[in-house]
Amino acid sequence: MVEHKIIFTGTMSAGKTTAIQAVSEIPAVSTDVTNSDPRLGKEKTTVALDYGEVSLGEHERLRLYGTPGQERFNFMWKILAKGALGLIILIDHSIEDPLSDLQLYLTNFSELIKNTACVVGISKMNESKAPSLESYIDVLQRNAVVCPVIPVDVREKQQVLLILDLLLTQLEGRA
Amino acid sequence: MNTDRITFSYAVIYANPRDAILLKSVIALYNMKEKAQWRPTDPLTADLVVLGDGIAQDVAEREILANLKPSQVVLSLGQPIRATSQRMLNVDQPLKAGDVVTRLEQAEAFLRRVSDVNSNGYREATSGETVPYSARVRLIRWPNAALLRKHWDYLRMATILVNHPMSIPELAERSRESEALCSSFLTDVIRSGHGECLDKPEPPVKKSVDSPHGFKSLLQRVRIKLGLLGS
Repeated sequence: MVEHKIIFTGTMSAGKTTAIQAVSEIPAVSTDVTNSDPRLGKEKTTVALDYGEVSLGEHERLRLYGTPGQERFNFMWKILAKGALGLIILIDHSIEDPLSDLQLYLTNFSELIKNTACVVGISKMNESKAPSLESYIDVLQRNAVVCPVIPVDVREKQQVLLILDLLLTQLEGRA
Repeated sequence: MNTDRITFSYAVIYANPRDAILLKSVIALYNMKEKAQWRPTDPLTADLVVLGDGIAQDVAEREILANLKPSQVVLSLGQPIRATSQRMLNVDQPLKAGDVVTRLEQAEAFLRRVSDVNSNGYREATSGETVPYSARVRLIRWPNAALLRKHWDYLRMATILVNHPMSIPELAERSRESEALCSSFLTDVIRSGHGECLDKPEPPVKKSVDSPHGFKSLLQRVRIKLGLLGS
């Protein structure tokens, strides 16, 4: 079996699990437990990872991995990133300091971003005005990263597909 | 690259007192770094004109921007103002020091290119000029929403341009769009400061011959499976 993978990373509650479920052919496996952090506003949160699959043929498949969002699991990020086709960073715009979170993922996945492709999706932008989309682009520029940054609602499958389309378009330039 | 400190001038007009004080403080701190020095002067001669929110957009465009030189950079505080002949930047309010510093760095980069202080061979398209047909354009910053909204295909073209400087014909071939649209897009990218023209020729992009097990074929299979054909 030939296997490829795309990584979804980002803030807790940004929608990684939902995004994978939107495109996975199998019911996405999600290692959720009851959330003990009252600040999150959600009942469950991912503590290990999410997993989905897309079969590309009889002997080939694309694995979709969602990393746990908490920084204490960052040891898993490097493991998961190895050999990945590309990276999707989802940021929850409604949290207290989303720009710092974006910086965190840009730092921890810098090698993967440099060698493959990345798309940054900002979820829940309609829930608060600041920071602006330009501020996210500023963070990318400070990290010498140029990649698509778009608002996204991962509950809409078409928007998840748009993110993947943008990722594939970049990768095609490297082919 | 020339690393001598260069002095640029700026002027602040129609800004509210809070913004004016913050700008002055940030510029004072910026001047302590190993970058350009910024000195205040009058708006008609300043390299950078900072336009506050104390004037209506249409009045600003008619009365202020129409009288500025094409080489002047304009930084608008708050609502972006449509500009046709100047380099336009904008920053959200309430102003944050980090955002202002980023805009100063952008203004400095533009002005260095215009004045040929940067010796790396980059030049920008000036007012009324379109990108030369064979010149490659490199994206230096992801385009803002205002630029991407100009045409529904700009998002895809910007994505194609990520990490791959392209000329008009190269972008047209890759995107399967008309050269006229690609020319408009690349010109908009340059004029808005999101890209730069590369004067120095780069080696032609080698077209890879893909096998059924190659990377290109893999991406095609992913597209087919996800229903993302036609891109």
